[in-house]
Amino acid sequence: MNSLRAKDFMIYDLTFVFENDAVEDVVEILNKTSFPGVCVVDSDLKVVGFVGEEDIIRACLPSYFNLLQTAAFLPDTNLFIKNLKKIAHEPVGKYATKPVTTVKPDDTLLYIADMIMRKDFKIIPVVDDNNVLLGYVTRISVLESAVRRELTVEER
Amino acid sequence: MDILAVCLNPALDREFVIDNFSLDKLNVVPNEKNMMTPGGKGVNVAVILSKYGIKTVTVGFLGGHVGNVLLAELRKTSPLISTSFLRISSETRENIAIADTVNHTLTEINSEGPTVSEEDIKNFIKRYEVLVQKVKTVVISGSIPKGVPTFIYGELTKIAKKYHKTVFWEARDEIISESIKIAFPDVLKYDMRRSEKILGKFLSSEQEYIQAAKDFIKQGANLVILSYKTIYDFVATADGVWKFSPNVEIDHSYLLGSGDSFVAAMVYAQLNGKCCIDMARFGYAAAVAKASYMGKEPPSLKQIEEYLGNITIERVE
Repeated sequence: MNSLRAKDFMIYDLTFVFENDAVEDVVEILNKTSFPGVCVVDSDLKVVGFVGEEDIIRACLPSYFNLLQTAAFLPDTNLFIKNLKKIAHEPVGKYATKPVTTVKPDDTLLYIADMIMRKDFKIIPVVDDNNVLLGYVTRISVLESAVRRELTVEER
Repeated sequence: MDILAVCLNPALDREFVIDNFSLDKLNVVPNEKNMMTPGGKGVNVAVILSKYGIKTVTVGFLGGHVGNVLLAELRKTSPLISTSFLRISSETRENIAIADTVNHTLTEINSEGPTVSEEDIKNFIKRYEVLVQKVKTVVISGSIPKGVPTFIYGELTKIAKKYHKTVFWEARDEIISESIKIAFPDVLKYDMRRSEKILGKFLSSEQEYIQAAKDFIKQGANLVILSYKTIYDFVATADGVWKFSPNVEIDHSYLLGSGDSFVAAMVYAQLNGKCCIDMARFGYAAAVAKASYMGKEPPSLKQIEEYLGNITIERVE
């Protein structure tokens, strides 16, 4: 079967940050690239972490936040902003997710779609056999290539 | 990844074909006559190389809405082009050309381009140093945005040399003369479209061009290409100096993109084991092939091979 693979629909973009980049700089990169998250790499372009919008948001909320039903119970509504200011200059490596879930260029659309559904990923890094960053697959790139794909006779 | 294409000042090229274009009136352009293509010399080289099956990573400064459009268009071009632009706050430049095929006019509106901060340059160099280690060859080509020092080519080459990479330059004199104080590229090609100066001086006689090419070799370049009267080139290596001329008539209005084809074809030749004068020969054939028709589309490898027979190479030193 001629199944679609990551290499057919990935975005060949090498946007990355380093562990010691400041949180505020990473927020700016996410804003300008419209990526929901980016890889943290070492000096060899190997993926060592991943930092997404959610990681930064979570870092600004109190640890008991998940136990609350709504944000209305937060003692101070400015808490989030205050916390974000506090961590703005800190190295992003502190808030990155490790280890990182990655895919390979030859992984199939089905495999990646399954991963996105089960783990609620918005963007997944694509790496080579040495864990070197090659690009990203996003939800929309998966959806778009799935929509365009012709069904085989058996699948119909 | 084979090549790192450095395009510090990319541009979105917009072409409108408007016959009987008139000032002070409404000119309506149908969608198919309104083209939007990623540009800037380094980007052009990456696009041409992708047509020859070569993988590149393209880097530079990119910003604003124009930057986003450029990136979207570049991503559509080929999966062989990876991008890793440093995003800046200032808007990427846009080159608008209005071609009128009835009255034979070309009206151009080029935006001045963005300003890059010192912080951006620092961040760019940090990322460049990681990416440069992953490629065989670095091509640095084209203009630089405001805020970036003219010696940046030298800085980037010094880093590439630390990792023993082959480095190509195509740039204008202000950049070359400041950058060679820091480091020399392996292949030095002068962009003389706007000015025929070499190291601040206007050269006139063939002898002066030959001497200038020889001097660059003595100082550290392996291959030097100085264009002469637009369609000729003086090419120097450690073995001597040659004058390249076309055997075919060159229409000057078809020269668009021939410089980028020259560079891309030399990079292709180098990756395929050609050296020195043979690299330049392949590049020149590509440039002449490109000048045989209108448009930005690069010549195919087959066309370049054919055009190797349409050029004359004469040893002058």
